[in-house]
Amino acid sequence: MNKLRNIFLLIALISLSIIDLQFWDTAISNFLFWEFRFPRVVGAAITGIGLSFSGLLMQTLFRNSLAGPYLIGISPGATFGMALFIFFSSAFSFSFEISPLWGSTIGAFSALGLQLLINRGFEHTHRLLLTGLVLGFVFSAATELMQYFGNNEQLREFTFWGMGNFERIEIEHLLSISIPVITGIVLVCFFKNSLDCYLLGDDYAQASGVNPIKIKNLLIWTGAIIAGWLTAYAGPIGFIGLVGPHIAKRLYKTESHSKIMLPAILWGGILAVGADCIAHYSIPGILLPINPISSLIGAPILIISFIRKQNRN
Amino acid sequence: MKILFIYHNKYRIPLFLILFFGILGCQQKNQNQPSKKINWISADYAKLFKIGIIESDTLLKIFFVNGKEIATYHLGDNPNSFPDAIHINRKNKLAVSSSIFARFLTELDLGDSIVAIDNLNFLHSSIKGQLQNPIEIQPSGELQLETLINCKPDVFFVYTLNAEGIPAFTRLQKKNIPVIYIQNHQENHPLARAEWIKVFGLITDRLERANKIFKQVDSTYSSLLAKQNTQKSRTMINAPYSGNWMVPNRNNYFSKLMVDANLQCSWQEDKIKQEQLSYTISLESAMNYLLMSDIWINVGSCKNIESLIKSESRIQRILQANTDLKIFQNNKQQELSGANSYWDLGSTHPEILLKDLININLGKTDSLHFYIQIR
Repeated sequence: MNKLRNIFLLIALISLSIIDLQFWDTAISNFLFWEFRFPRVVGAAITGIGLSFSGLLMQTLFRNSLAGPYLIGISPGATFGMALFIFFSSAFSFSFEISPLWGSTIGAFSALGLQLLINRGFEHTHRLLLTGLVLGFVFSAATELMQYFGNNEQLREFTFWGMGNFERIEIEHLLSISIPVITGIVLVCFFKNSLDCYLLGDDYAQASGVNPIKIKNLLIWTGAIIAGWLTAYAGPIGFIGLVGPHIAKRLYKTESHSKIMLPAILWGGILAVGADCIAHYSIPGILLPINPISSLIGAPILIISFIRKQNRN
Repeated sequence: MKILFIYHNKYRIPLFLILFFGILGCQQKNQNQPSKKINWISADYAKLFKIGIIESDTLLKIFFVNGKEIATYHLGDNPNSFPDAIHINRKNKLAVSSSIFARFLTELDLGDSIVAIDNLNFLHSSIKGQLQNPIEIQPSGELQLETLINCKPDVFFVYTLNAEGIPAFTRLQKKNIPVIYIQNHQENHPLARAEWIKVFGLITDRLERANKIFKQVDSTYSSLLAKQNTQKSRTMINAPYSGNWMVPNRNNYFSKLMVDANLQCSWQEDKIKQEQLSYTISLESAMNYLLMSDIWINVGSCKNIESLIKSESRIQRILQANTDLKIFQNNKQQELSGANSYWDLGSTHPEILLKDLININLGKTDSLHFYIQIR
């Protein structure tokens, strides 16, 4: 039954991607199709998959279905890094060229570095959570301060980046965004059973021969690298990392990683490609920002799922 | 007897409040408004202001784009003749929140009356030379009300996008500093934007001079239109910001300027009905338009093709595919501080901008004022 559901989800993702690619559109040249449309749609799918996977790792780390990369300060850190790059890159001259993508990745790693420094490791999840919230506030405040002093061009660049879109993903980027996502998924697959033990508590995990600290390190580093890297390309896209794993858990009525990992990432892809479709084709000729669309799709799904759970209870 | 429920304790307070506010709302407004007939004179192009004359008094009404009135100003000897209007009596010390307003005032030879300005870095040297050390009131973007109040201006010219922006200035009104809400940036015709010089002229008692300047602008603009030949170049505008490409709508003043210069707006061939002045198109569509265009203007902040490609690498492939594309940037007058007279002089003198666009269309690129061809 689960296999059938997964096949159905895969078909849904492929169908949505075909709709987004619009193969039948004769108005677009081959050149534009392969340079712009194809990388955008495939990039959206990979980003959705990656964000949902990162969200799943964070939900496992905190043993909470509402967790996401923002909870430990990764997303605000990535946004801060990008702001730093946009507002200050012109002030410094480097002998080598720095890609703006590094801004967000370095920001995400800075958040993790600070977490490590303050908590001396990732042992206590409640401390990670509190530090993450504080770091989130600090990064957001610093970002606002930079915006205050930014000029018009920089503000425009940053605002548009913050709205999120998959337009910037080029065909050459597809490999670079796939590598951390695929590596992360493959790596975590080896620890599927350990993650399930970890979900039952540190003591249970230890009793089952699983080192919870090792698992926490795996979850944090993998989740942070994927979220930070993808945020650099697509901007801070909300709700996909939260809703993808959430739907999978609700539909499959389990938290077992071997069962929900595939549907969670497929749902992430479906949500991202769906949001991209709406952004491009809901008002012909006009491009809408992804972030509000993903939030408008994600928020009702979450609310409906809460109401249904409440009614069942 | 059901009606007696209103005497129930729990209904008394809401009932009282409804009656109180109902009666308050029904009070007749403008009781003191004189019954004399006001002769309203509409502007030639501008839609967001009108001037009314009544005997020795003058009224100025300013509107939002949706037609809602922002404020009425009264210029006359007796402040009590129009108690609902904002009375303006002294105009010796002026404060402005934009370099465009400073340009309007210097056109009227009032540069030395400007005591406060938003940011001196945005001020082109051609205006700066006419000012006498004005105080900066928005050096970092946020309006410093205390600094502004300390300058004791007689009038403050400010722009606002919507009604939500107005409460920020109520403290100034309380300090008897009349705030004039200039809306020229919301006008959708280049000449309408320039016509706001009449508002500056009216407030500063130089309406006649303002009328003369505008008449000259209008006639030069019209004569340029009359001299147009039939050559039409397909044109694309703006550059991407983080994957978003903004284009002006048909109603936008810049689209009108381009149409007047016989430049064919490539993106407007898709008949999109949009109310807002500009909207975002996908990179894919923008690049498609670029492939079909002869001219590309206003390429963001890029100073050369190298920086353009750095902002979006795929542009290089577009340029390789469309080798005839000529790229023009509007930064010929840009100074080291970032000030660019394209924004202020282009607003007060759209005929210079139009002439540039016509010359770009005709390939006469040597005599451009604001634009420079980038390679």
